[in-house]
Amino acid sequence: MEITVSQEQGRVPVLVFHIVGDIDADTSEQLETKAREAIDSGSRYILLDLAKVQYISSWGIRGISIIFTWLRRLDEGEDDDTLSAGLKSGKFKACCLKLANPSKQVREVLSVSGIDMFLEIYDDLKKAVASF
Amino acid sequence: MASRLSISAELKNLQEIRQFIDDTGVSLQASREVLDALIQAVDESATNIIIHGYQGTPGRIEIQMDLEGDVLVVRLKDQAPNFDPTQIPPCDLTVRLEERRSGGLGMHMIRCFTDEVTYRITPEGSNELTLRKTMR
Repeated sequence: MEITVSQEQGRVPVLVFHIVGDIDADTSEQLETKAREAIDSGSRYILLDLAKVQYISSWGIRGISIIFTWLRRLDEGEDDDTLSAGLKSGKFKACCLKLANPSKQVREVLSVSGIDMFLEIYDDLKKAVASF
Repeated sequence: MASRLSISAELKNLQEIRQFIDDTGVSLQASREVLDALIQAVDESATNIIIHGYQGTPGRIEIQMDLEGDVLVVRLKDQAPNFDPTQIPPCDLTVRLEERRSGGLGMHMIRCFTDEVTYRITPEGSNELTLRKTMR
């Protein structure tokens, strides 16, 4: 798996990860490491471009969830109880992490895992950046 | 005749396992949709064997894939300590991932992307997980 990063400007600065390859139990740590480095360098809004991801496993989903948790901890907007209630009601949507351009199978996995209940998914990269 | 793959239980081999299922499925004329689902289930199964079964100790995974009638059948055999993953309870998707039981999401995927999942201990004492997916 390879990740290139570009800096885009929505209403806020958005770091876009362009991921090429499969995100499985062997590679998901690379994604987490890259995100950790970006967050430590000050990034607060991340968009994952999945256009060239052919496969994602539950470990990739776990990695994305970990990145969401890291970003959310920097946002003092809501506490854990509010988040849990929002997840159960389906009303919570993350403002710090979004996804773009998943293939049909990857989108299916995002749906089956339930991660699409709180992460917005866009089919257009520009619209995704503008949504932050 | 069944296709077989015997491979070292290491995460770096997951890609080769997925390719084996893809190649075999194509030769059996499975649709892309059916194959993608089966690849997902096999990858999740192999990952659970490597991480939760062998837990870093050396071992092998034997994979056999065949067509029985109009059903694709994949059997994964390993010699890790006996464990029946079909007994893992369904996972609650509204619970945050870090609070969920380890391996639970993988098993959830396996159930969602196959028609049937069964487990047995072979006469030799190995774990054998069987995944079935109808071609239609």
